[in-house]
Amino acid sequence: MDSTVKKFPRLPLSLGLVAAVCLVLGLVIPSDLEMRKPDTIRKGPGVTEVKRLSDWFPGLKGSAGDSEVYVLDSGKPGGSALVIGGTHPNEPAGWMTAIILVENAKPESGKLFIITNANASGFTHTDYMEGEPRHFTILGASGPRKFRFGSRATSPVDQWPDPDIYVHAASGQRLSGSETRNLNRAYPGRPDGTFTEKVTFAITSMILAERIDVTVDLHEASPEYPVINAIVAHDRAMKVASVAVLNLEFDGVTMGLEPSPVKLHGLSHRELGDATDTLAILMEAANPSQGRLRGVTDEALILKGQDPFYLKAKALGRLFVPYDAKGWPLETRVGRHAAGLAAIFAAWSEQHPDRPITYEGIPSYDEFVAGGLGKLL
Amino acid sequence: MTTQFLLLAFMVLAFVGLVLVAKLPVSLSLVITAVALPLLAGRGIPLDQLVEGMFGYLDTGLVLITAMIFLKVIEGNGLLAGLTRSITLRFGSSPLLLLVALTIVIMFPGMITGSCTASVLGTGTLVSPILLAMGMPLPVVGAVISSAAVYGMIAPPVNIPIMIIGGGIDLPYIGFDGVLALVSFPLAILTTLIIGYRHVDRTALANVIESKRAETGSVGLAAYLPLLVAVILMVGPKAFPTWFPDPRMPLTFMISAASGLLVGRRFDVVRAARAGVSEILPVVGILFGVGMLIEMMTMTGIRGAIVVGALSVPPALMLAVIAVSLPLFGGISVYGGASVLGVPFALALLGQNQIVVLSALSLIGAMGSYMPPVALTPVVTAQLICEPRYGRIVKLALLPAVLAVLVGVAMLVWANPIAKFLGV
Repeated sequence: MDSTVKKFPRLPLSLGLVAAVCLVLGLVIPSDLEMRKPDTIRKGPGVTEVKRLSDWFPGLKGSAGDSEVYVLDSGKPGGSALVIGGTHPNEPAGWMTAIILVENAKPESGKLFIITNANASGFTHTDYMEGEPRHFTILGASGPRKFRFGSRATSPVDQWPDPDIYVHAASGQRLSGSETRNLNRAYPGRPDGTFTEKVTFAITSMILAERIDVTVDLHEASPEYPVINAIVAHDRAMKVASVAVLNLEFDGVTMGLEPSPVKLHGLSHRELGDATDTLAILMEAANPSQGRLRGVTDEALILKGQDPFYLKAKALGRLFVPYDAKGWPLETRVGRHAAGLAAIFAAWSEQHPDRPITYEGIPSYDEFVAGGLGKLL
Repeated sequence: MTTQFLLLAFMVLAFVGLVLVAKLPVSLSLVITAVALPLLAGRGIPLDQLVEGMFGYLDTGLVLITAMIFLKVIEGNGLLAGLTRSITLRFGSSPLLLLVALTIVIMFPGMITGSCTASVLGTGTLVSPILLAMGMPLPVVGAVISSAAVYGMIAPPVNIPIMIIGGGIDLPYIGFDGVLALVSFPLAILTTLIIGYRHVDRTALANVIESKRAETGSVGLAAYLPLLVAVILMVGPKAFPTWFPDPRMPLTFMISAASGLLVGRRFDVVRAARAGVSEILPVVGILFGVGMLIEMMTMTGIRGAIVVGALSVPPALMLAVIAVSLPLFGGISVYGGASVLGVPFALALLGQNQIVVLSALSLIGAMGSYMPPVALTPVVTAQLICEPRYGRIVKLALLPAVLAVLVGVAMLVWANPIAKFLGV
């Protein structure tokens, strides 16, 4: 042994380093594998079928992008709608609202398609250098429910490395290379494109095949972002969206209305509206846990949305939403999305009485704010 | 916020103490500081996040490692010497013209990839022997290469900091080329001349030209194959994005390096590659350490405290804060600074012309490339030219960098008139 050490003087140090790396990996890998286990989503009373994106685009079959699509068919004539949650897994109010619908909504007319984890790959990791927790827990009616807090982008395990610049295939628009894994910059998608483009291609194919009338993509944004607590609507969806915004205002939910920018490509509200006949709409809630101004980043921030730094930023006039010590709790954000969906479908049904989309089982905004989220899980 | 600033003070003191007093390597000091920070903040040792932070610079690390292998290959097969000879002979008679041409040559990889590292390790490698032949001292050569590389990063057609800030405020990357060209090329050339021109030794240059002319055993055109492959693989995906496959930077360097083995002189490739990796590994280690530290700064709220602190100043001081904080954050990462500070600043300046504002922010932020602890551009340049102290490069590049920051601030002040004048 002594002679070996003499021959290779750096051997003990090298062995020590290898052992340290193995130890760290041994401690980290189980947590990483835990992130790959899908969250439990229970089939609610309205779910009639569970399909997958590969049913519309077989190229995704068996891949991490083959997300589940929950079908809630009333069996009665009406329109069809697609609710997309989990485009960005670090925006929990969006996909939590989709889960609430799957587990609780009972369709009365028309047909609902719901995707809870649109970018399923994004749920398997968190964003580098963001210091985010990997899970959060909500005390539900049936006990504690643990959910993953994912990344804004597809996991590098499924799509890597990023190019220097991302060129949006359909428009030629150039964006930062990291946007190549952003689902909401990849519409309408390509069957032979990147992993992310294949997922958006599947969603676009589903909308075309199922002749979906209304598509709502549920998001969140940081409080310092100008397009927030708002509906962004494609040109053809403006009539429905504007009535929905007015009705929400009557119900005490202030919601902005923004036209989908014509020059900004790859986003669901622009490309799905252009590539299909669906009325493409996107909704944003205010989520401090994804903002650049946030303080301590932990589970409490995700759930309560209370942050002293955002309070200060509000006092400085740097925010685009109201902000006080109550913050923006997840209940409130989900309540806004749920109320927004109800208003959009009500406006659609009013304008298309022959193709209504109605459902029951989802509480009002006020009930959500009063703590209704846990009761539904 | 007081807690976060106390943590920040601890972080700085711990890091400086470990480097200067304990004499530990910078990378190890960063790792130790990153582990200590959450412990002090009562968050234990968040192993998942510490490892995750490291991966934030994985891509950059791979680019650096593969680029160094490429460099060693073109050094070994004789291309580097051959290219130096032909450029010196062709442009040697006019040092001014030569410096201007070399500046644009250095900028080129950065212009098409948006990365100053690509410039340093790509054409910076080719240009350094020529600059040395012109009689410039080692730190001056490093400063010229670093500065041109930094301007390559912000010159059109690809400016990643603008893309990052634009992504945060929903502004498409359209209409920036003119403004960026008007800002970057004159400043880059001016910087090269300020730093380098007075060091040009015409007698030395004439002697070098003579000796180069007398040299025999030219490597031949075939030796240029790796360079040609690298240019094609870098430019192709940007010029023809719909059909040209993008091999990404690490594979580009590896394919180009492999092609270099087919032409030119024979050499021990394994030894050369090992030497290249050994030289660049300390830089990669620093990057990984920085990734861990940023992750911990975000988790404990230090990052937010810095951003809110910067936004808290009165409007009159906002420009001063931008001029100081953006380059300072660039000491960790220019791209990170664009995302973390650039977006809030762009939002704070929404009333101004966004194309000029974002161009100015990218110019100011890019000057952070010289800032420690990462100081990626001068550190990599120093490794490349075997200059033991990268600080000497920074010192020379500092004054032109301050000038660039002032130009950026002026652009912010007069963004709307500039936009009107340029028609953007």
